[in-house]
Amino acid sequence: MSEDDDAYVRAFRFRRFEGKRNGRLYRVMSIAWFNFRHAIAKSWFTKLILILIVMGLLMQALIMFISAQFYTIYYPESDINVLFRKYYAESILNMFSLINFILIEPSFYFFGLATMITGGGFSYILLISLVSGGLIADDKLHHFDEAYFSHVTRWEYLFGKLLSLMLFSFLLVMGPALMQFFILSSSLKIDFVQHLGLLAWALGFTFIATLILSLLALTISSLTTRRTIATLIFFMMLIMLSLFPAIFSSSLFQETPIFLIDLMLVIDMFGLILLGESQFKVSFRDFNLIDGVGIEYIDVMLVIYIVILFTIIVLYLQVIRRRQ
Amino acid sequence: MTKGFSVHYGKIRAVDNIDIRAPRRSIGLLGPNGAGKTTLLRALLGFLKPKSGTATVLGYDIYKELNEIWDHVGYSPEFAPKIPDISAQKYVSYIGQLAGLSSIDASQRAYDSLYYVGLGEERYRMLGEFSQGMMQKAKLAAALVHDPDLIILDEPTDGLDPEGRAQMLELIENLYKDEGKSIIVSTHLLFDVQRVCDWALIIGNGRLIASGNLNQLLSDTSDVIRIRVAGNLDTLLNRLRARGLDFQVDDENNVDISRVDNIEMMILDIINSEPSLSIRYLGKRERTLQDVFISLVEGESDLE
Repeated sequence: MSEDDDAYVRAFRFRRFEGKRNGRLYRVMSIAWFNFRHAIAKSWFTKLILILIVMGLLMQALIMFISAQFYTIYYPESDINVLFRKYYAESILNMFSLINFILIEPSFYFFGLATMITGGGFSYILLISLVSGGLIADDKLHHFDEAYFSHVTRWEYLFGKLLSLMLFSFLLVMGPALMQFFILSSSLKIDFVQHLGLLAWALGFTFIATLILSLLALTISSLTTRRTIATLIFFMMLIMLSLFPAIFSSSLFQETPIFLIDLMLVIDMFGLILLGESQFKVSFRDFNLIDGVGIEYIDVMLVIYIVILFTIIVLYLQVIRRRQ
Repeated sequence: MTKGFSVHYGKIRAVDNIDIRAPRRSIGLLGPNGAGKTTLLRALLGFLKPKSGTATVLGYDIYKELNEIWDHVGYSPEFAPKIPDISAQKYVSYIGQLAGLSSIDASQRAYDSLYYVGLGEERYRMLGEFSQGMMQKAKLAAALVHDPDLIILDEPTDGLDPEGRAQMLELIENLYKDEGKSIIVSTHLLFDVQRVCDWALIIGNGRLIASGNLNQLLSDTSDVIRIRVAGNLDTLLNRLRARGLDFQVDDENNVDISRVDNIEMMILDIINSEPSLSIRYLGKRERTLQDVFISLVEGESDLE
């Protein structure tokens, strides 16, 4: 630093601030942006996972592009627009699949597999676990919460933290969803304008799905002061909940209610309901949400409702409510 | 200003029905550990929900105008926010952004503040590498970054060595006297308050014990004259006894004499008639804040 740089400090001591203060939204955005950048900058492992995810997304885009070139060989009888709709929806849904993956139309299995081998859901959950674990836990451990609460409300704090996770989700899920839409539509040489509704579904669904997962991740972080514990609980919980139904399901080919404990699958089923689909396959098992047998759409909605309610109640008690 | 202000932790009355009226000056919030100082500050800043009562900070209502309070108050909490992998510059700058400063303003003012507290050269070091003294200064810089009118410092000299403590007290004094900031120093260290404050609020067991101008609190209202002499003290004491005066001698050889008519003239007469004695002080007994404390807060042993 040259002497000129700090001359005014020495000459005038402390300067009065005469600028304009930004509003409340700016402060929320500051929290989100700071935590987003800090989460990436602080861990080499997080950076590595990010790089792997981006590489996976590029690979997925490449597979998509190449497989689309040969669709007439594999599916000579198919309607190109139906093919696009199913393939794209499968691809979006399987961004959230861990063990149990979704196939809307069995004959499009090859395309679905192309999406799954990139392990999108697994990497996304791993990354969210890593970056969310310390979001609230670290603040409590390091006594940083008082620094926050002497400038922003608890709601602003929570929204800022949530937004930082949503930024990751935008980067890793919503962004790729947008990208895939245009890659696939241009590869299959179809008019994407006809399918803007599908794009709206994809963006809406990925937004809701990542919001639910971000809320759950924040909830777990708020329950402890140890980031490692929060990270492990969130990650292992989702993996186990996905693994158990696959192992302990009484039928290899039929839907059983035990699949309702797989939160990621339930989120996918919620996406299918939003899309208006009720019949699909989950890892070779036939699912029908409106046949009055096994899992019904109302069960899916109930699980989603319970999870959201649980996160809101816990976050309210842990973060929002001031101690009296 | 508070009126009937109470903060409870369950059944524990951490702050119990306190009425405070404090001017915009350098205020020492004094009390032993567990007296309710930090709880009071946290409630005034909105971290804790009061059980009852009303309060304003800088004229802003704590129930309705917390955002205004946060924008005009800088708070240095008792516990250091020890985020190990963030630089002091980034930390202070981030606090500035939380206070609504643009990223450019926040960065510039973070530099100013860190320089002001003496961490200009250390600003890119990670907080995890900071000593306790440096961390106290970094907290002060963070409290200053948005140019608040009132700075609240919770135990600002806690854990500092004598040199660090002197530096911190000088900084606080400068903020009050040179920069015109109002200050609240919450501490159980009496010396700190006596050094940098001119108004004191004394709290014990969640209740306000005394408040007022420090000079008034320290002045002795009892009818006692203090004399300090150079020379043979026993000679003086014998002469006082001979005149039938009631007196006490403390550890520093100060002689406190109960006032009678013309006491000052009698003492001067004694001194003048004894060549081995010369007067060093004659006047009202000076009390330290510790004397005030001892008289007000019985059995609170952690006051230093």
